Amino acid sequence: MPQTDNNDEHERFTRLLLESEPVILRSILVVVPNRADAREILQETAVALWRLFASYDPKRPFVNWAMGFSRIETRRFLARQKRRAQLTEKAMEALERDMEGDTSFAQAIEAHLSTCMRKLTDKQRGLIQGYYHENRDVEWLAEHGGRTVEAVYKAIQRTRHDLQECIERQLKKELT
Amino acid sequence: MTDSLDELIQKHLDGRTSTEEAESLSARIVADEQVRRRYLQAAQVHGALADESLAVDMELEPAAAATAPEQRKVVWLFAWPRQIAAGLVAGLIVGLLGAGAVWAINSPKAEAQVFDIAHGDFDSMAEGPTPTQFPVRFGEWAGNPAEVVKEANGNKLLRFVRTANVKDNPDGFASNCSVFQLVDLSALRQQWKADQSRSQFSLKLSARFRRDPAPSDADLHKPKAVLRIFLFNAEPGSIGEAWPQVVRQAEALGKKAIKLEPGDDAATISTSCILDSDATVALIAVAASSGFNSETSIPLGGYFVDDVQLTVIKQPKLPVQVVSR
Repeated sequence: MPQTDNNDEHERFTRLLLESEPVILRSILVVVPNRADAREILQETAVALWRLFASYDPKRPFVNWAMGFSRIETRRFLARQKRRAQLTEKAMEALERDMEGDTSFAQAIEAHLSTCMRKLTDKQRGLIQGYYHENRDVEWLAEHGGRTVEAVYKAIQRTRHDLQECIERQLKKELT
Repeated sequence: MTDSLDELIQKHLDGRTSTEEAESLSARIVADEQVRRRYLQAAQVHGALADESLAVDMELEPAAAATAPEQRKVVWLFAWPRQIAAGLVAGLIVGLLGAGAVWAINSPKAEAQVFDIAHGDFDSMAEGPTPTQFPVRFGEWAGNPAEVVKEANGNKLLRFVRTANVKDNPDGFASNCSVFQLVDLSALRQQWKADQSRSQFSLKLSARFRRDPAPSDADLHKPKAVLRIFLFNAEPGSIGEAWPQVVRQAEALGKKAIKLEPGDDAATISTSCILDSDATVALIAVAASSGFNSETSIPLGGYFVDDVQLTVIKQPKLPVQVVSR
């Protein structure tokens, strides 16, 4: 392959990967909730995609093609890593099937998460900021917030649950 | 949250379930569609929160978040995990073996060149307040209330005076003090157009922040120093008109924040973004944030910034090359 063709391919691949990457990462996080693990799987997926990019049919949506790879890489990763309790293969398959079949909640997140975040208290937003966006561990958040580790976990879980309920309410409003 | 199923799901998302609990959850997921629905909803919220482009959205002034959702433009964020793609460009992924080709790795060096921005060290500016409006021209610092001050050794730097809402939006918050500059990328475009088939360009923005003790420190919960860069294909004047919603139209963006305690040593932080070939304008922003959504202006006391620098980094575009057999 001439150098210029390869450059074009690389440019095209990079663009497609960047466009699809949030969707791929989010789908990995459904079955592998640990963010560091999910990102490792995403990286393995990116390598696999690049390796076989020549076989990609541009008539198909890239993200669909990529999701097949991410599922394989997820299974490979889970077979290697036994650090955390995992969902069973049957459960993962069932979730992936349902996720593919109904995208309404994912779309509602895209549309309403910002609004729902605004409804959180400052404390809740601070926790989300620290846990997700600054990648602080719960021990650090507990120490700096003057709370127990258990209380921080509960607060994060409560906050996510509040967001889930808020988005569901917004979705119901749209449907009625 | 009293439902034990929701508690179990939330626990699993934080990696805290035992093997037995994960198996029990799995069995319920397989057997019951409603359990799958609850799990998927919770996990998708978890996944969305882990999305770094959302992190940037959340930090915008609320007017942006409150508007009707637009089609989100894909942004090239140079922070993990989007660095994966940049990593491919930079040759971080090595040793691939293709079926019909042998892959060889080049390792040519990246070149860095300082790109002049106006008054990056503030030394050539007059002491006193900077304009309190969104900048409309290239090369001027303007934004929320800030002032150029001179230290005893003659060095000048920018002090963040107080938080405000740069668009005076009565419904908006005054959570941070941001000072902006619009940078013309036209000179750079010529260079990268000539080189774009061979090279990948990125822009690195850096600045040195310092926080001195101040009487208002007790009013600041979790203040942060923040550095941001946005690349746009737009007329410079139009960016301010559409701020802050316009960030959703950015071609690329980068962001870095740091927490400084009063009296800490000065810290230099940097953020980078891939230089998209459509970008005509860079908007750089230095800021001190109160750390919470305040509806009223808050004095920031002893937050300073100095030595704002923009560096162009040129890297070979395709370090992974195909060698014909």
